Amino acid sequence: MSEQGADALYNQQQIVSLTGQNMENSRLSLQELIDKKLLQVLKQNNEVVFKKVDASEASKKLSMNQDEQLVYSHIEQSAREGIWIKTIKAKTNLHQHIVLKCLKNLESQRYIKSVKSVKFPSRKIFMLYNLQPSIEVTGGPWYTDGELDDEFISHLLTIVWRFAAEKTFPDGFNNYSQVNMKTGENEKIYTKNVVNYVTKQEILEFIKKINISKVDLTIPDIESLCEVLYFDNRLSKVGVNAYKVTLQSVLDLMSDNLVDNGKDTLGSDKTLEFTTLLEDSYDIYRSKNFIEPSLNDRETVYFDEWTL
Amino acid sequence: MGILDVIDKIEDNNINENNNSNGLNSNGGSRNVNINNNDFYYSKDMENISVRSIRPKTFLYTSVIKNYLGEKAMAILKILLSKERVTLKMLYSLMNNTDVPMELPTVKRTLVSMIQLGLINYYQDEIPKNFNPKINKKFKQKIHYSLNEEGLNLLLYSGEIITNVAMIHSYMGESPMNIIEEIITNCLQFGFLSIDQIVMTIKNDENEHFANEDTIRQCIDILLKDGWLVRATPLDQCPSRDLWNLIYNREYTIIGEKDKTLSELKRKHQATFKSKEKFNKLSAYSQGEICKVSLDRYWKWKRVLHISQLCESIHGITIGKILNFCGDIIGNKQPTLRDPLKECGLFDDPAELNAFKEEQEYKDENTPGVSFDALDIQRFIQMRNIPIDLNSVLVNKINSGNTNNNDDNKRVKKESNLGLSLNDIQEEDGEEGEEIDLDEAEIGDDTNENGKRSIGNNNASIASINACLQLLSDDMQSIQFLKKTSSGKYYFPFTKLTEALKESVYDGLIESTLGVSSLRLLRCIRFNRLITEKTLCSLVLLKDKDVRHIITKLIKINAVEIQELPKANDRSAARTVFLYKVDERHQYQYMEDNLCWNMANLINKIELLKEKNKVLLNKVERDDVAGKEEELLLTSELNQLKMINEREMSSFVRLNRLLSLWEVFQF
Repeated sequence: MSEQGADALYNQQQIVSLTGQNMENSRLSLQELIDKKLLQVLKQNNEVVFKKVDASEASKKLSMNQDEQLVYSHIEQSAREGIWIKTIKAKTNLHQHIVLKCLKNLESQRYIKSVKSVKFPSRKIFMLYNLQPSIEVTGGPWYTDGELDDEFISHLLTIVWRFAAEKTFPDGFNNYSQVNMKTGENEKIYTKNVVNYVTKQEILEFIKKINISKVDLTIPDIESLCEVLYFDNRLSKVGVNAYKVTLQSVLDLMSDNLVDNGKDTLGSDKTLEFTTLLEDSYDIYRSKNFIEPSLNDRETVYFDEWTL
Repeated sequence: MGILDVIDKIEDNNINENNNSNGLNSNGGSRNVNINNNDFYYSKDMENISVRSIRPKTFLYTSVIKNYLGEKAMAILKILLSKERVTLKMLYSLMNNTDVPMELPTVKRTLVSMIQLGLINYYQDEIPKNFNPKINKKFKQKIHYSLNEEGLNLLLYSGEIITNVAMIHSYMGESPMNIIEEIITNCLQFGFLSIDQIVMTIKNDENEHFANEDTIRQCIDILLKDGWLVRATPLDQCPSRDLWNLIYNREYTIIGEKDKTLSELKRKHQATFKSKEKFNKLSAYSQGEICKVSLDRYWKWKRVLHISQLCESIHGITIGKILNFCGDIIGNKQPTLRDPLKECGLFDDPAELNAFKEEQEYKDENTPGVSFDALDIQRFIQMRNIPIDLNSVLVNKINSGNTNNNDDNKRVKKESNLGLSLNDIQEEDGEEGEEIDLDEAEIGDDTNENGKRSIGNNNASIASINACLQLLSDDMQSIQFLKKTSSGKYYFPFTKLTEALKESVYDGLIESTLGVSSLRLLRCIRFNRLITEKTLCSLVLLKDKDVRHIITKLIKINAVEIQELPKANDRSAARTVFLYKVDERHQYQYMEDNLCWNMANLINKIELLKEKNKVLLNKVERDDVAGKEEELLLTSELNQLKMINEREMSSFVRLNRLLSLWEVFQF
């Protein structure tokens, strides 16, 4: 059985044909191996199958009492997902004191460990000592010690945005630092045939290259960062897989030092006044300096007056 | 002459042959006349601030009318706002319950002025065909008065319209611009004026610029041609709903008489179909000597302005300007914003509404004169001598100086492991590459020192304008501002753009008032349609606690709604899943009300301020004080006066800004 690998499964017929013993003898040998915890009995397609167990694992199990073995087997089954203490109690049908005692013993012998789940922060979850908790339990790269790592995320968001900005505009995120926001003087933009977008793959490569993250990031992680930036209206989607920064986000970044020197190139020419209508009219995209409304105002159900 | 006679006359003369008479293809639908009988709105409680917020539009319109026309008109308006449609007798009896009881002649006089200003429409009952005065002596032709929102909105916009329409025509020179300003002012002031009356009012003006009658007539012609002034007909005085009912009932009877075996359902279908055709013809009918200012034209201009501003925020200032020129080129030919069919109650049926939307989309593309090309834009720029330099704006090759990746210059990406989506981009690039190559061949190579290549030789060459149009019509962008027709021209997809405009203004308001996190949550919910709190938290990368806090705020302002998904038969809350969703109709309605209320409150506050400082303001207006304020007023009074003026000014600026946000939700 060892030759076939650790995960191979055998039914009784196969064992009989492999060992060449008759049914009665093989049954006795199997029972002996099971007693020594060297074989694990499983059920597959309504058929009893056997699986080989490591000698070290078997000796570990032999050192446990029956209750501990039962608890241990359930924890083992839960693999990298871990198992909640209440679920153990329900599945083993043991008294809480006994379960707690078993868990304490197993933990002290370093057979199992308790982990913190991001999904259920209040639950005590156990898994085998040598296993790494799954992403569902740890929450992925965005969580540090079960807590959402705000700083890390905002740092990465800024890096992704800046990387995209460098590509989207000819002068990167400084593209509008010298532009007259009324007349559009000194403005530079790419035409349609220029590839001025970034793909997730490029972002990932860039992040790996600058070596900013200790955690290994994957394409889905980058996607979730890009999605957040998209929801913030800082990135816009080009097709399905690529992103550009929005001009709005570039302007928001530098709203304090935008060039509006009042130089009215058309001021002298009255016949061109109609062109200033677009330049001078109020525009929510440019003016965002509202004051927080007092939503708790009892007088009205509406926002309070907006100081526009 | 009754409305029916007018309709018959129009039909007999067959005047509307050339008018847009595309009947809607879909049939069906029922009419639902909804008369609001809530007496609440015109009660004295209107002074209470919380009552004002129940229906902000009432608050807004009453404030405007009070400001412009005084308390008597306001009292009538309140009744019309709550009752929607009243006869003189009923109006008079209801007036006694208000703060401003009036005698019947006063009510009549006020009504006439309001009708002249276009604030009120009226409908006179038609005499039944089989009416016999000998038998039925009691029948009386009643006149029903109802409110005309267009007139109220014109009042709200009056100042803006005068300034902007004059400025739009600034390319004609200063003198015609002043005449146009005067024409619009007079038309707004008097409501309806005949062409001769307009000429008279302007000629009587002391200003010598206005002396030349031919110039005045030319200006009126230009305004009429571009739709800023429209010729009014007796039908303009008839409320859309009444006109629709009249046409529908007539068609319904005719169809019944023709074919008596027709089922009721088919009869209704046919009647609706024919009525729509006739209604469209009649509402587009415009002829005669009497003119009025068109709000529809102004809103068309504003719609293009808003779209250009949105474009500016996405593609940059120059491209926004080009898009604005496109809007100026199509001018009044763009599809109407205020389709009278919307006001007939026909769209209570969702099928009718969908059919109408489809029809609108079809009109966006196929209305004559709505498409244009680069040549039109170049001609426009040259004709108006607009100094625009596209050469220095458009960059045709990637600027390698600001990127770390040396491979950036490649037009098509090398990555092959990104699947279908990138392939899509490559294909798109390939196609566009060919197009631009054509442009390149046309203009020759003029690479400059920096390795950047400007597109054309002229400041606004056809090639560079084409590059702008390609950028605007790029379907890979978040918003496609222009679309291409089969003949290679471009047009505005107004129906879709209006939706995008509403969304972006709404998002802008949410972002600026509630913060970026609120915008993130809102957009995430909108993108995912229905979403649980857990999924939401994982997608927006915010802490559960923060998400819950923000969601509460968003729910409070109707931006987000909760959808219950029961898992157990008893719908127990413990086992129910709650999902978040966005309902645009509710969102926009709430925001519209909110903006409306704020506008009304601003007008109200200006009034209160003036009321408070009545003594001082009266003193300033006295003949002996006017002009000598600095000598005759105390320092404290001067300071107070300065404060009043500043506050009034800032309130008007705020009002103007709110108005420009509010109107987006009216489009």
